[in-house]
Amino acid sequence: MVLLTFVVPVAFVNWQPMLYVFDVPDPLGLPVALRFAAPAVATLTAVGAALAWRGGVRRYRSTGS
Amino acid sequence: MVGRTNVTIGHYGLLVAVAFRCSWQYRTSLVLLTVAEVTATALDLAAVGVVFANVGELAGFGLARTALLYGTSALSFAVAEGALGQLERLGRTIQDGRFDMMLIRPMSLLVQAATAEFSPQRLGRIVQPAVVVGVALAAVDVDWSPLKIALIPLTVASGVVIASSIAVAGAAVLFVAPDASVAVSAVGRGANLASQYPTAGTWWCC
Repeated sequence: MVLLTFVVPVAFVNWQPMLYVFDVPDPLGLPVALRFAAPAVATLTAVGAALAWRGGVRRYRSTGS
Repeated sequence: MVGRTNVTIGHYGLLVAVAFRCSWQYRTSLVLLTVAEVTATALDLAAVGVVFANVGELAGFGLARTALLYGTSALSFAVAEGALGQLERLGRTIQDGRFDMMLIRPMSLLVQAATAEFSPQRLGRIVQPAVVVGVALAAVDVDWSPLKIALIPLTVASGVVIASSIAVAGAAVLFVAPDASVAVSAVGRGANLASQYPTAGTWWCC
């Protein structure tokens, strides 16, 4: 779950916000503020993906044909 | 910067419209393929149903709540997949040497990769999760507050952004390792499936 929350933040796609909607305490005991962090996480991952994409394009070496 | 974003979105919209017009030439084929996509996504829902036919609740979540979890996740990933297409094909394009042609064109690389062989039938994958979300929202027992009601579309929207970011970041790996197409698509698919079910466990595992 740590992997899904912090490394590949899939837990913010539906898990954390739904915990708030269902009024269920987090099995991991993470702070309540994370329930609403989905847009912030979305922005962070978008920035990270843009950086990864640019880095990848810069590192591209043509096969040269 | 804003001007370039407008141009990029304009290019994307133009290419998507072209893809739709091309597919519309063969209407029957498009309709049948879209129906096939909708049916394929119904299998995911059947899996949830099979689990709940045997188990009363899953980690403390009943059928309606699990359906809502599944629906929001599947909807986000379906929209992201529909918008971006199969970015994993970039590995094949690089290996064939066709990527240089993309570099020459005065168009954003991401737009080109996302609209290469854009298949309008993939948008059929959005129908079933949207229906599931609607039905689950009606069936789930939650005391609604305005904040919770507003949280649902916000969740789906940010889920679309997160799913797209995972896809783009995975595709970025293909620039340095073009053979990793299968691994990249596995990561994306795994992220999709992992968020469809409620999870329980200790913090150091699962």
